[in-house]
Amino acid sequence: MSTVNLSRMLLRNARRFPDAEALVFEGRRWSHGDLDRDVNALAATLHARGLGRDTRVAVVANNVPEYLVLALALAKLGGVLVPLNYRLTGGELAQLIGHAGVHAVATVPEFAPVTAEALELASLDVERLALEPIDGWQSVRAMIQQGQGQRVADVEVEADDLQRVVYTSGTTSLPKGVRLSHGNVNANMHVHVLELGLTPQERLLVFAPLYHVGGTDIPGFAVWHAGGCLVLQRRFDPTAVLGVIGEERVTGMVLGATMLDMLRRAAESATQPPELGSMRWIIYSQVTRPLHAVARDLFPAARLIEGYGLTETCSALTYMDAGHAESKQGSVGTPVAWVDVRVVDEDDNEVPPGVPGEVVARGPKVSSGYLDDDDATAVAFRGGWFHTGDVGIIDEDGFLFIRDRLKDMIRSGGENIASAEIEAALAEHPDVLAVSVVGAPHPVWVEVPVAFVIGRPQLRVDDLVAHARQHLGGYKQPKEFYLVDEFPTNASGKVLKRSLREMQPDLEPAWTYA
Amino acid sequence: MATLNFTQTLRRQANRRGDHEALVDGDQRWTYAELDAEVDRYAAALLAGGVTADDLVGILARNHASYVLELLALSRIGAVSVPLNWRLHATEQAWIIDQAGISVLLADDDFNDDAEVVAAETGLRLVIGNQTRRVVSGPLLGDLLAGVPAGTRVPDAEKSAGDLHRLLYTSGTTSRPKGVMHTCGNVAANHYAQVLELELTPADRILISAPLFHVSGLEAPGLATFVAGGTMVLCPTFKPEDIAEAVRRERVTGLVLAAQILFGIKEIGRMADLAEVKYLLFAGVAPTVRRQVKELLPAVRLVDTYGMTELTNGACYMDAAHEQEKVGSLGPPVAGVQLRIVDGDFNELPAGEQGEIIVRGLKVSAGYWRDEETTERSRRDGWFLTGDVGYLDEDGYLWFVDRRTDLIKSGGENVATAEIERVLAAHPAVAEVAVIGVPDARWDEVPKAFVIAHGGVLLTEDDLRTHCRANLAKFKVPRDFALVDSLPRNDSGKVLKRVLREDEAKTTGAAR
Repeated sequence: MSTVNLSRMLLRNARRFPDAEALVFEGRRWSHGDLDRDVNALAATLHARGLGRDTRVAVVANNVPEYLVLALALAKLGGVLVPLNYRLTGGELAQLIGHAGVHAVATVPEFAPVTAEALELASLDVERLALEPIDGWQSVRAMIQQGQGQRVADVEVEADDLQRVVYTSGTTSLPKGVRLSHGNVNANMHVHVLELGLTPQERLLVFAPLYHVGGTDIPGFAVWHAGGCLVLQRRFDPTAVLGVIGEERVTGMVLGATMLDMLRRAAESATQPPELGSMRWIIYSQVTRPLHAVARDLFPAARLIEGYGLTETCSALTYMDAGHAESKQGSVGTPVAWVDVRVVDEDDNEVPPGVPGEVVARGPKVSSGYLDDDDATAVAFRGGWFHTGDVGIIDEDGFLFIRDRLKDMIRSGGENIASAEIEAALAEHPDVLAVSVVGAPHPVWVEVPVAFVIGRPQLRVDDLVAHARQHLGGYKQPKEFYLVDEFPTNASGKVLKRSLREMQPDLEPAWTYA
Repeated sequence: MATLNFTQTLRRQANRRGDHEALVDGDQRWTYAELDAEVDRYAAALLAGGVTADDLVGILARNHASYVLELLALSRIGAVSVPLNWRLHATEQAWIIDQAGISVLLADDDFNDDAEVVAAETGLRLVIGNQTRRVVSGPLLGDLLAGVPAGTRVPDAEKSAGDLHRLLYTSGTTSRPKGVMHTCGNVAANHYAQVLELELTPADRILISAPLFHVSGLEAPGLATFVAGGTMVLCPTFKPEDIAEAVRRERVTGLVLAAQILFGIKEIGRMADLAEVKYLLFAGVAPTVRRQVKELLPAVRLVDTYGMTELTNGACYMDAAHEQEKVGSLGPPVAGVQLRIVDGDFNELPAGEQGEIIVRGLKVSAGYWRDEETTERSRRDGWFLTGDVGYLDEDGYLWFVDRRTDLIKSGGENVATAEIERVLAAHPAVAEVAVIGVPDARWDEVPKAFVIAHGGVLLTEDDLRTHCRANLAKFKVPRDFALVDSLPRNDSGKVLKRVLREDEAKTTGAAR
């Protein structure tokens, strides 16, 4: 009965501005008319091959335009997209593909071997689709050609019908499949149209992987909902990004903190100053003051927006404008449209302002749970609120501050230490560009904090130790400092603390508490 | 979901763009931070005055900031607002108040007399005077506001999509107006559609050029302006010169224009004041007129539209790319709306074929308040039956053919022939009556009544006119009366209004 199928926006755009640009990738361009035609063509061909309502299709690929065409064709048919992390091993992929119960798998040449391996390990006989030509795999491009001129009506879906299942890179052993419905995705698009003032003039640069909400939902599909254009890049390459912003008059993009630093370095070593004036807004997260200043220098006319969200909330829960960057340094902002955010104690009672607790959220953009995992769903989504597993504080003015992951808390000598607190204190040092603090095992104190620091060339570790002593209570002072050039991150730029913890025993610290 | 209270938007805007201009009324201006705080003050004041979240609250007021603040405050509290048409006769108001179960009334000085009448005749529990005049010794809003401690904050009531946000009474085909229910989900869906269709951003400055008791004042885009983070500009009157001046002075970017106001602005030679708006939303004029307007305002997007209170305003908006090529069409459906053309057996008709326009989507009203029967009759299989006749072209654009036979659209207002017939039939000298709409260049249509008097009774047009004026809003009083000996009827005795209309067209010709 509902009217929320994600694919409906394509016809609307095709009618209103058929010749305006919708999608750009490595010199190839689709107008809104082209995009609508190709999605219909692919849907027609897939439908003829038996794909339809509730059919699940996994994709193991980096960013190519056929990925998006497939996603929308599938939505049109009432099918479900299962975008998978292409950095996983064959074994890991096999587990997820098996769990999701897919009818078909799509990939690109680069990941065909690992995908094939996964299918073997899972003993699955499914349709093999190639987003770019692969020998022995069915060509999606050929399907798009084959179906040209045919139209398929958008299947009528209810708000809670699945559009996508996204597996979270959890800290526990097995990733969980987050159910994202058409209702969730619509609510998220609504949030971003309003948050960013999206119009048909928007030109979004997407280099974050499409298997992550950072690629498809911040703002991702919302730009098409508003009638704008997606400029897609296969992967993040700082030099290429600086070039394409000027070439394609990009108006907005989403960045991880380390990506911002890489852009700074690429801009500094560029032979010509990059043309960046078209940028209207940038969304990032966990950015220190110095890096915020970097963003301000590179994009003086852009609105800089700090954000916080999870896969389970179809990305953004809160956003904060740079207008509050000074007065609310470290905050991730206040809730987006249609979202309630609270901080609660272990019994799910709301705590007063300033008191730490678990961050919980509700609203139409929040997932209804995990695929085929009633137990995990019952725990995380209890009481009608999604429990993020993050520890935070809401201040008197309603601003949210994230202290730490519950699971990343450091337990030292009986005390709970929030790594984010230590990171914030160290980040105050003018020569510190980025810092990540994790717990290292200790024979006496169970765990102690250790700090990984990316610093300016002139940073002296003794200075940093003194700074820490000045700003932090004894047990919070890092017992070791590691000076590094970069952090291990996932494909969306998030620091992998688990990797830091694993690396730490084999590394040489710049300073050790004696 | 509990997060669908419209006024949560104000908290968000106060955070994101607290210094941005939100509301303008003459010389009074509020930023978003100020607006959000003022809404808290109004909410606290109304609560202190005795308004509760369970109340249906009627409002009789002109388009000033206080009205907007009251609407926002009622939303924040979680009460249901019922903006009342102050053009209605007091007896009509009283009927609505009791039918709806309105328990509280907020009234401007200008409507004090009507307020006194309805307070006496209905079950109203509380009447608050908006300005200087009390009603039945009820409180004054100003006093209540003065009593609110500085910095008071009222949390937004938790609302879900199905919760009622407001009622709007509209005339249709029945003999009494009906309360169209707008849920929190309906208004949220409309606000989002308005933002997308009109490409609203915080840079937009929208003039409210229709009364706030009317869906085109409230929702086209009306309150959606706040959702986009733009600026709402109020105009105290609907006089063409005042509207043109407001557009010019406040650098308005978009507005609705009722046809008669548009003609008025043209007549006083002030079309140039509209030259720099982004869009003008207006309907109900002939294609030749639209073309003329385009020649005068070449850079302005002219948006034709199909909508009604039951659709929470527009279901179709004409897009910029097709406004000239498809002049006369009302546009394709807006985001979130599905529209079909069906035959008498509810089968979908192909492009080009005429049939009834049916609509569904989240912005379609949940139904008529306390009127299951009319609600049921107007819906089928989840679709709302508009009763209007139209067709879709090959591109899915709507072309309007004819409206429901018993509905007159006069100056943007719905007039139900059944209402006028009911009133006239109550006159002791009237034996039979039939009312039709006749074309009018300025008002689109006006009512004409055909009356058969009881045998031997002397009845004049003045008698009838006086009788109507005592019972109906002025715009519902027929312009013309015809005292006749008989009415054309079919075999089952039903009056053939089509014949009356055809005869009218023959006798009046193309003059009007």
